[in-house]
Amino acid sequence: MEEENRGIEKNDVNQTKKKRLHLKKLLVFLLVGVIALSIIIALMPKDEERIEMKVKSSLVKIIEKSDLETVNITYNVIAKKCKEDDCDTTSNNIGDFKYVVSCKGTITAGIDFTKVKIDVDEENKKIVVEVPDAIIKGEPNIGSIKFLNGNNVSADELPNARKLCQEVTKSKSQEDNQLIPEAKAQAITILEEFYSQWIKAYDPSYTVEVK
Amino acid sequence: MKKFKLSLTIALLIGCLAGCEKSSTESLAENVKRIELTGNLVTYQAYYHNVLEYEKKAGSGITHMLEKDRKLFAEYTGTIKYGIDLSRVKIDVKDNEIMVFIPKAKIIGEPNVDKDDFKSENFIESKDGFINKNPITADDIAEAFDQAQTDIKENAQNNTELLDMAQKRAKAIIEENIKQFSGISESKYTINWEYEQ
Repeated sequence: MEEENRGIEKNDVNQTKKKRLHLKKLLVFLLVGVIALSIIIALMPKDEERIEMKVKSSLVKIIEKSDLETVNITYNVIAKKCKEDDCDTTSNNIGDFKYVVSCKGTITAGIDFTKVKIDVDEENKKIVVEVPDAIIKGEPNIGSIKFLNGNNVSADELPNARKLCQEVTKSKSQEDNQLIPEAKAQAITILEEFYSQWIKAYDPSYTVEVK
Repeated sequence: MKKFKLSLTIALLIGCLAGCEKSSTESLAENVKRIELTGNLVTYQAYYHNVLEYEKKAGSGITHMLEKDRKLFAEYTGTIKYGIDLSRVKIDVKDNEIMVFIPKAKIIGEPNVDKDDFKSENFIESKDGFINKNPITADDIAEAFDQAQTDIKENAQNNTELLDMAQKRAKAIIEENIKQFSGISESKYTINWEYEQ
């Protein structure tokens, strides 16, 4: 009888030990879970970072698909060849020049989108995408040329006229204050149109400004 | 009992997954409908630096005798916008397939020519007659300006390269918006594009 009682007591002790062990395991499991969850939450991007990442990834895609990095601009100019070495190039009279030529050319501008800046203003619910300035790439590409007082000009002058067109197009494009902003405006136009729709799906409470 | 519980859990899980999958494809059509298809979508803004050639014919009648035809040349700048009419875009969803029709690109609005370029000091003119003059007047300059606007518009309308690019950009914008609005992974649907030629 005594032995039986001892056996029952031993069983009870064993079961209590097992229960404690289970409880310990459960606690360790819970603790590990809480730590892991805390790490995940800490590593998770904040709202501000998340929206910035979304804007960036969509920007990369739209740039790739729209060829926004390169802008080709029609750049036609009038070039004047003096009769002598020195003349007044501001003269309005076509007769004052050896020849005047209309040059059809194109200028290539580029935008480095790796330099784009994205700012998220959480408080005012506004995303500002700042596009860098465009830069002129390479030399102007001269297509056809036309002598405006052409009947009197010898065909031998054509190579010289083409060279003149190249020089004048280059200098005029470098002095053109509208060219760089307009090249940039081309990219801004498409990004504005894209983000005006995009933000409605992401979070309509936000506005996007592209500048 | 344990086996029964396990089977029930698996069955519920499969049921839920199947249900989720069904609802995601059903919601695709609903979500895509949220894309606004009104107004114009501007996809390209072209900047032109052009040369204008304007001709003023000598007048007729005794008072215009010995007048010479005059020619006026000027450089001017202007911009013009290309895009598509969004109301003509058609988006149809059938199961996991999205069919999108993109209309031809067109000129949006009127060209914007810089009026400051039309100052007499910027012009180059052919010689006038000695006896009877045929001067370039303010009316001629206004007409030259109108001609510049028309030239830019006609050039833009005939520039198939830029029109194609504008259509291609419209596709890129709509594609990204479908991805954004669809609410499901890109791998779960396909988009078939049809372009107006």
